[in-house]
Amino acid sequence: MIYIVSSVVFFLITVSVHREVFFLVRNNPKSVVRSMIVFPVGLFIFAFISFVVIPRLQFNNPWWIMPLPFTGVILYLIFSFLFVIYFNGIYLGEASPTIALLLLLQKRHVLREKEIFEAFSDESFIGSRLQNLTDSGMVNKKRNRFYATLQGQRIVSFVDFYRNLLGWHEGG
Amino acid sequence: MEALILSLLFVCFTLFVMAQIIIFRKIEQARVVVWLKYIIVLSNIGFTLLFVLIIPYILPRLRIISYLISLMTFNLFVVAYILGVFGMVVSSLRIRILSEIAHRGERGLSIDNLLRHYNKEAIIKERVRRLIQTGDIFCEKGTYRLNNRFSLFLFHKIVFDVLGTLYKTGAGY
Repeated sequence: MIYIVSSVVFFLITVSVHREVFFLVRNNPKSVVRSMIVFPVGLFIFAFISFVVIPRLQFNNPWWIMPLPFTGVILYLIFSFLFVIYFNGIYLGEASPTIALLLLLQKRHVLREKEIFEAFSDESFIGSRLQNLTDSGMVNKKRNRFYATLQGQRIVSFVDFYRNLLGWHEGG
Repeated sequence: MEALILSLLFVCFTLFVMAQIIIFRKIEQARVVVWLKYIIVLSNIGFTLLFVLIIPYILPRLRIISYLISLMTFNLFVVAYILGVFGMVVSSLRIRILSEIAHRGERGLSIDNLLRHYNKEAIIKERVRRLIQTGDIFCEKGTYRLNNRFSLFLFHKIVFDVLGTLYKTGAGY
């Protein structure tokens, strides 16, 4: 049990450290990406705590000291992974269309299809994401046309492979 | 004992992914979220049965605690997979836009051509279809309304709001 509690506590400490680093570098997108290094560093430190420090502690209660060091490390990894996904969403400021649609219906209660379309714009869905893809190096823009970079193509290869497994043609 | 628990966890997760792929090959895309819920429930039941059968008898309180911890870890694995891999492929707008551009190869893609077949109407229609399938909204006499229940999608908004407050950024809503 101590491994699980330590995992959660250490993850929260790592997020606090990341938050401080983020405030220092928030105006530089590349530095914001590099600030994520806090999590792999945190992983090494936590692994040391799990495999070296905690086993040396003395506890009388057997359920508290149940030996689960690998589980603790796996939990830390999963928390970090989920954090990166959500952080990406708030940092890029891109609203999920599904959530935006539900919030709109929550506010207005009843809507016709045409009213739903009028509430959103191509710029908010497509334009901003296209710009982010360009800024992050997945896509290049030359003379008003967009081209996938090597990095972008690799991601699409993986996505196509997975979609073929599912027998689907397109997502989004 | 941890090795046994982790082995069970990885086996169940692998079976979950395989079941998800096999079933999703046979269903229409709009019913994805509904079937995902069924598969998650079934995999939790399967995990519980395997845990009872495989993990050796230990003190009852330890057994319950180790079961709860491993069940929580298994479900977190599933959530990470759904958000990180499955969600990216199925519903990410950015990935769809990137795919459209990459599939054009050296010809490239202009924004006008992109908007011709992937635009706000296509995006909203797909989301409306999924939300009707999940029962979060319904259509009556040409108008759309929320069903009177908490939507799991809004749970994401709560997480975004918390992080947005913590990092003093907007969540985009």
